[in-house]
This record gives sequence, C-alpha cells and structure tokens, in this order.
Amino acid sequence: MKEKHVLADASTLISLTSSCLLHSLKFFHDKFGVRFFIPQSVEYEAVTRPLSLKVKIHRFSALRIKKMINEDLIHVVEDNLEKETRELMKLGNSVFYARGKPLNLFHKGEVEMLALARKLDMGSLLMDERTTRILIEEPDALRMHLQHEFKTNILINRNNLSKFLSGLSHMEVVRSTELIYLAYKNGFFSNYDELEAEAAEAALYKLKYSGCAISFKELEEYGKLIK
Amino acid sequence: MLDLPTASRMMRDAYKSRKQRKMRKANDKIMISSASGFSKPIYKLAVYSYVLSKILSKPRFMGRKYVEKHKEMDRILSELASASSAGDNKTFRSRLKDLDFSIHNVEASDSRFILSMIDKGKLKTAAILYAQGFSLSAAAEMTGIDQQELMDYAGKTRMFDRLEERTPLSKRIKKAQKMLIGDAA
Repeated sequence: MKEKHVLADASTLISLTSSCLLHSLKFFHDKFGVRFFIPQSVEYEAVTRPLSLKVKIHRFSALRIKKMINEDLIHVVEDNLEKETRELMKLGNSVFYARGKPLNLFHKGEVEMLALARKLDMGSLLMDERTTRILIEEPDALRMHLQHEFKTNILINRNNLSKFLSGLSHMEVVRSTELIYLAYKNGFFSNYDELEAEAAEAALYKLKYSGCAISFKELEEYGKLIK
Repeated sequence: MLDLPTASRMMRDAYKSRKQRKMRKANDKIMISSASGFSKPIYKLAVYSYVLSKILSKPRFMGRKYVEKHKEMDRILSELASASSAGDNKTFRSRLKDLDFSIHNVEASDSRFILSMIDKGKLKTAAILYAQGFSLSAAAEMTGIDQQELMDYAGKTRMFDRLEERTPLSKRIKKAQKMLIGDAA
C-alpha cells in the first residue's frame, strides 16, 4: 500500500475532536496508509495553548489530540518557517484591497501551514477553516463575498495573488466532512449496524456544528448520497 | 468608514436615548469599520457597543436600582466621546477601562452565565470578522478569542451559507478519495 501524506490544520483537528471523530485519522492510517502531519503552530493552537489556559473548557479535546501525537498518528513537523511564513503572509495580506487599503485577512496560523506545504511539496491539505480554503480554490468568490460584506468595491492584486498561490496550485484541500463521508463509505460506522447511514449523516451535521465550513445545502446533498 | 470620534459619539447618543435598536445600529456600523480598518480602539468600541446594546435590551437592567449605574455609563461615554474628539488618547484609554469596569459592575449584580457579556461581545465580534472574510486565526488573534471557541460559535450560525461556493460536492469527494484512498479506491 502506497503511503499517503496529508497536512492538517488546527481547524480540522478541532472539529474532529469536538465531534468525537478524531479516531477516524487512525482508521485512514491503518486502512489506507495515510500519515497526518501538522506544523508546530497547529500543535500550539490545538494542544499547547488550550492546556495552558486557566479555563479548562477545551482541555479534553487538547488531550485527545496530544494522545494521537504521542501514538504517532499525527506527526509534528519541526521546522523553522518564520521567514517563509512572514513573506507569504505579507503577500496574502496584500491581495484584496478595500478603499485603497489592503485587507489583512490572514494570520500566521493558516499561512505557516501553507508555507510548510510549499516547502515539503505536499499537495494534500485537510482544512475546515473557510477563508484560506476559498482563497486557494476560488479567489474571485472570496472577492465577491468581501464586496458584499464590506459594501464597497474590492480590488484584487493579481500579481500578489499569483505569487501567493505559486507552489500551491497543485494543492487539493479537503474538509473533515469529506474525510468522514469516505470513512463511512469504507466501513467506519459499520458497528452501528442498521443505524450506520443515520450515524454517518449525524456525524456530518455534528462536524458542521463544531465549526467545519460547510453549508446546509451541501449537508443535504450528503444526506441524499448517504441514503 | 467611521472614525473614532464619530463612533464614540454614536455610542454616547445611542446609550443616552436608552434605545437598544439605536445602539444596535451603531454597533453594526462600528463593526464594519472595525473589520475594514482594524485598530484596537475601534475594535474595543465594537465590543462595547455590542455589550451596551445587550444591556439596553434586558428589562432586568432597566429597573430602579440601575438608574445610577446608567447615569455613570452616560458620563463615561460622554467623556470618551470628548477625549476621542480632542485626540486625547490617554484619557480615551482610561475611560475605556472605566467603561469596562462599569459594565462588569452592572453584570455582577445579576450574573447568570459563566461567560461575561464582554467575553460574549468579543466572541460575537470575532465571529463577525470570520464571517466577513477574515481567516479563523486572524479573527481569533485580533479579538483574543480561542479558535475552538470561535469554531463552536461559528458552527452554530448560518455564516457558511452566506458564501456561495462553486465547487460541486462530487468534485470534493473525488479529491478526497484521491488524497485519502488513492489507488485503493
């Protein structure tokens, strides 16, 4: 079985663990040889930070992710990407302009992962966060959205956009909902017996309510595919 | 886009009128300004205008025992507006602290939730920024809100229905299949 490498961001780990579906990563690891990687910033956001907070609301989620890291089901890539991240962030934050001013839409969290993907030439990304995914997939849809939200004309600096996307054009971005749908198709919910399809659909809704960027329309489509 | 003095005056006038809708409208405008030209002071006004609109919407905060607290709030908002018009940043920051203290004071007398109204205001502001098009970590960083907290909140809204995506689901599934299952598919 050919090993497959997938880079995951904090949003995916968060929605999977909030939905009690993090063990689906082990399912893909064992059944299809998928290895999941995260940069250090994702480990910080999803594990270190919630464990260091006084408020213990997200402690259990963080511990579940930490356990997966300890069990080598999620690999933390230790690499100093400060320079690459800074450069990429500068580009990303000078793509969209409103009233002559650049919109600083992106932060280190997502950009460091893209910098890592570029550096390691990894083409597979798991991401539940919306803005960065849309920028990679459909920058013009993001421009239209910003235009609608800010009620002003939004300009795109195409030169900066193409520089930002260079090295990312081959990148495929997938959400946790696609991951869980495929897990279902491959028997992940089979122990639910006659409730299998219902459990799969419910899991997709749970991911949405945990913050995965998916519309209700898409969830309804999934519902039809499952039934 | 609103400047700081205009935003401060809008808040002062809305609060003085004790009309929740007026404060809500001010909040909407300040929120858009906060998103399109983010600065710490305008962001704070966005959070406080949200919280003040909440206070004005609760009948339990409109009773006789709150009259003095509201007057105190009027005074602070008036000084805040004067300080911002005069460009007196030191006084402006100091009045913001007073406003924070007064809001906690109002809430402390009728505390019902673990999350304070100011925390809720920050969370709501973060969600609006994310909905408007800021990335998740940018919205979290700008407001000091935990990413997980923000995802929990965003997931329970319709914000992901507001952006029409053109990529069909079938294509997404194919991509995922190639990525996660590959030749075994």
